[in-house]
Formats: sequence, structure tokens, C-alpha cells
Amino acid sequence: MVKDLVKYYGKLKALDSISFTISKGEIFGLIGPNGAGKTTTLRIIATLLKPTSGKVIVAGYDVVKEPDKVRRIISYLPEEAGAYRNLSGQEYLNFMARLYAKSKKDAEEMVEDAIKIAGLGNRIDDKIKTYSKGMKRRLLVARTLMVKPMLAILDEPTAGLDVVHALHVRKIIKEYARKYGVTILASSHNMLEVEYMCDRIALIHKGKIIDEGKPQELKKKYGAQNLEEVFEIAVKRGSA
Amino acid sequence: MSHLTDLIKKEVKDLLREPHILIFAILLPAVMYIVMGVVITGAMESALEQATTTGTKVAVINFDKGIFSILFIKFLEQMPQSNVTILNTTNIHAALKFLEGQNIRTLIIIPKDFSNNISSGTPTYIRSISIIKELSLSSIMGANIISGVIQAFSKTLLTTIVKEFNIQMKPEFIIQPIKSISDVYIRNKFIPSEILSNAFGMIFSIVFVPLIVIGYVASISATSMGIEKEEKTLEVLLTLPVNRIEILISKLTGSFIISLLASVSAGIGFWFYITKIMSVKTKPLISEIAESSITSRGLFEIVSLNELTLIIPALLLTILLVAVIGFIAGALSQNVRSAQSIAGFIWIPLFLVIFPLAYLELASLDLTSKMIIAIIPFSSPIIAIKVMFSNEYYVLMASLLATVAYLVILLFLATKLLSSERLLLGIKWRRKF
Repeated sequence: MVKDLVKYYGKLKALDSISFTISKGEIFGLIGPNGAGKTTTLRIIATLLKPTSGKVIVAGYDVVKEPDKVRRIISYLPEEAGAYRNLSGQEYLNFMARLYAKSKKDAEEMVEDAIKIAGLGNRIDDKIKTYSKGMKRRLLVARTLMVKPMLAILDEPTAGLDVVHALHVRKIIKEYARKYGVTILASSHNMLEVEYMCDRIALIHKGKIIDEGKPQELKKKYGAQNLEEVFEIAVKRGSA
Repeated sequence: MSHLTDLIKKEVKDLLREPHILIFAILLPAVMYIVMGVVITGAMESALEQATTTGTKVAVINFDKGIFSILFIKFLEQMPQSNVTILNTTNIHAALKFLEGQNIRTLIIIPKDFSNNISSGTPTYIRSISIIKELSLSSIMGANIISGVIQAFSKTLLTTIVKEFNIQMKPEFIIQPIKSISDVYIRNKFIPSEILSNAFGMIFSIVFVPLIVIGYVASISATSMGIEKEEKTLEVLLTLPVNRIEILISKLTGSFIISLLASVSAGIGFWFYITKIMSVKTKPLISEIAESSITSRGLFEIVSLNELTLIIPALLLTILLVAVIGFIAGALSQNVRSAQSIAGFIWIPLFLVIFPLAYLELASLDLTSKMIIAIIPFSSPIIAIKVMFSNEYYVLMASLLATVAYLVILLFLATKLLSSERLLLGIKWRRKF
């Protein structure tokens, strides 16, 4: 639950009292252009930044007051994430799994899942520095999902992926959320991606949420063909 | 080629507009080297003055009473700033005990047949004993000064006095009429002064090699944070279910282990280098001391292995302190380049402290000055060496406690920094140009 979230960077107001709630097992999309405040919102929820004011509660825990507890139930994928280049893909996944797993068996299962999600085949044993940008992103998506978090926070999950791999990742995110009941908060400026993947979306523009709802309902509400049009009309109405 | 000028202009402008490059790579070195020059020159001059004063302030036991011993004493008295005390005792140990209470650090012993030997053209010797409280460059210089005086007398004797006395000389007498036997009296033991120099060289190499490595420690720990930022792994790291202290400890331990490996590697290399160099130099020239050249023997004749281990906590705490400073520098930087340029200069204040202290004789200072030196950051390793000889362990304890206090403060700051947005957003340097 995000309530009246405000964030200033110096004098710049990055978030202007935004609020939204995500239900358990839901895939929620935060949609908006670059600089709209998506990443700042996700970073606050991921305990990386502190809000200037407002409240964020994840599964009953306040991100400011109980960040350690929040970190145990979330898994965050930043937009420009990297991985330790001198480790192999397998070593990286083993390292991450050990931080979340309660037992050795748990960790092994997580890594097995991740290898399937990443779809890297034998390359999983190669050093990460030899991976292409797309391979690295798939590894990171796999790392984020394998721990079956209560809330997965994905900032532009398919950034840098080609069409085929982007499709693969979207499919996996959707399947994974359904299969394990993982709640997903994803940000994107790719409206097609959002329409395919998300149960509900919030349109964010200049640090404000300008509308919120199911993709189909929003299209109907604005009489639009697609979400791009929805966004355009919503912005115009908001500034009118 | 036509675009080369534009490219160079762009490159210089871009680099100069990086404030950390301007400050740490261009302005700071000039300031630091000037300060280092002033501080080290001051320390050297003071050590030399101290050595000259202690070297020319001597006590003499004359077992000879003949004409040449009297001439030698007169020669001593004519030396600039000389202060000669004639002792009437024949007990050397009692004389040394007496001198330890005085501000006289050199005892000269003229043997019984000194004048007779010279009269018959037979080589003789003068023995000097330097009382040394701790290993410092000034104490070594002081021990060497009196040998120089004896050699000077020896030459004067040969060129002028002997002519007047018309002495029949043996060939070896012509080469060296008076041999200087120079010992030092340290921790109630007599040690040949060559061994003292060897011990000094050895013990400082034990400290200096790790200190050089400390430069790498700062770089390693700063780089480790810089890499996390540059490779974009920091954001994920900070959202993992591990607390900030665990992250800090893991980073410091990693840097610490690497620096220990680097210390061992550099130490082995340095030891090999020094023993090779010294074996070439000493064996053919001075066969009688070759056996005591740079080997552990020289050192362990003065201190025990247990006492030598005092250096370990001092070095480890200093390495840890530098690692934390490096970590903070890295955490405040935006990338590897800026982290390394800041970390690269952490060794300068380190050497600003270590070098002057190597020249200084701590034991001769008053309590307040000792305590002030003890609380200077990075002073513990050099203090550990000094108290090993002077037995003033309380100075080392004060220094170690001060280092622990600095560590606690910096670790607290580092933990705060890890929980702060600054880590992710970095410090915004103000550009004014």
C-alpha cells in the first residue's frame, strides 16, 4: 500500500502525493514516460530511498521503520542492474539463493528454477562478463523470481531485450506470478508489454498518478484503441 | 589529424572539470609533497642535531694515562660543541649505569697500553659504547659520530704527531694506527654497532613493506565499492535480505584478506631483495661482520620474538583503519575512477606520520608529547617498534586505544553511510565552471 508518497531531490519534486494499493498475487504496472517518477517510487518501496513524506506498507511492514523485514519478502530488479562479472551465472544464482533459502535443498530448488527461467543452457557455467546484455537481463529476471518473493519489484523488466526474449520474459513473469502467487509491481513505458502482462495499472506523469484501473476498463473509459492513447488522453485531460 | 586538437581540448577540459581529478590529482600532490618535504627535512635536521649533541657529549674512562690518551682527550675537547667528562671508575657497567641517569650517551674507553702501542708503532684501538634507549635514526647517527671522531684522530696522529715523535711504524700501523671498536649498550646488552644498523634496517622493513601495502588496501576497499556502483550491482545488493553491517564487514574482510596476501607476497619479495643486496655488499668487504649481515640474528640479539609480535596488532589495526577510510571514500564516489583517485592519496598522510617518527627518539620526549604522538592516526606501527626497546608500553597502549577509537567512529559513519541515500545517489560535487 502506497499512501500520499512525496519525494524531493533537493528542490525538485519527484513524487507528488501518489497513492495506490496492490492486492496479493496481482501484477500491477506503473506506466509513464521517462522521468515520471516510476523508478523513484520503486526504489522507495525497495527500501533504497526514504520518502520525504507519505507511507509505504508491504505485507504489514513499513518500509521506513522496518526495512530489514521488508527486504526479506521482496525481490528487486533495477532497470540498469548488473551482475558480478567475474562469477559464472551458476555461481551468481547459488550466491543469491543462499541469502534467501532456509535450507540447502531450498537453495538448490531456487537455482534449478532460475536456470529454467533464464534459459541460458550450458552458458550458465560461463563467466557473466561473457554474456550479452540480453543474457544478463534474463539471468537477473531469473534471480529476482527464483526466490518466490511476496512482492517482486521489476523496473522495466524487459529493458535491453530483443522482441523474442522480451516475449519470453513477459510470459515467464506472468506464469510465475500465477503459479506461486507472487505479487508483482512492474514499471514500464512499453504499453504493449503492460497490456499483455498486468492485471491493473496506474498511469504516472510528472510525479502524479493520473489514473488507475484494469487495462481493458481504462481503454473503454477513454474510448481508446490502446494504452498509448489512454495515456495521451489522460495527460491532456489532467493538464486541461 | 585535423580533429586531434579538438579531441585533446575536449579531453583536457573534461578531465579538469572532474572536481576529484582537479583536487586529488593536481592540487593535492603539490600541497602534500611540499608539506612532506618540510616535515621530513625538519625531522632529519632535528635528528642530526640530536645525534651531534649526543655524539659529542661523551664520558671517558682512561686506563692508559699516557701521552697519546691525553692528546686524544684534548682532541675530543677541541671538537665543536664538545663536552667531555672524565670518569675515575674502572668499572664499565657501573659507569654505564651512572651515564644512563645523565644526559651523556657515549662512553669512550681508552685501553691500558694505548700510548705504549702507538709509541712502538703497533696498531691499537679505542672502544666506544653508545647508550641507546630505542631504535631511531638519530640514535644510529649518534653511534656513528664517535667512530668518525676516532678515525679523524687516527689520521691526525699519523700525519702530524707521529712525525714529531719519530716513531718506527709497522705496516699495519700505517694503514690504521687506531681502530675504532664501536658497541652499543641497549637493554643492558652490548651489541656491535653494525648489528644495530642491521636490526634497524630489518625492523623497518618489517613495518615499511606492510605500510606500502596499506596503500593498496585503501585502493582495494575503495574500488570494491566503486565497482558495485559502476557495475550497477549496488542497488540489488542493498535490497538483499542482509543487514548493512554484514555488507560492511564482508567488504572490509575481503579487502583485509587481499591486503594480507599482498603483504605476505611483498614481504617475501622484499626479504629476498634485501638479503641478496646485502650478501653481495658485505661478504667480500667486511668479512668479520658478514655473518651478522642482514639476518634475523641481528634483530633477535636485541629483541625477542614475543616482543616483535607487538607490531602485529598495531599493523592490523592500522590496515583496518585504512580499509574503512578506503570504503568510505569508495562509498562516496560515483565510480571506480573517482574512488581510486581519492584512495590513491590516503597513503600520503600515512607517510607524513611514519617518516618523521622514524627519525624521532620518542623516549627522550616528555609525557605530553609522547601522548600527542600516540594519538596521531597511523602512528601505532612505528610506536610499537620504539617501545619494544624503551619498554614504554603505555605509549603503545594509548596509540592502540586511539586507533580503536578512530575505527569505532569510522565504522559507525560507514554503517550510517550504508543506510543513507548518499550511497546510491553519491555526493553531488558542485561545478562552478
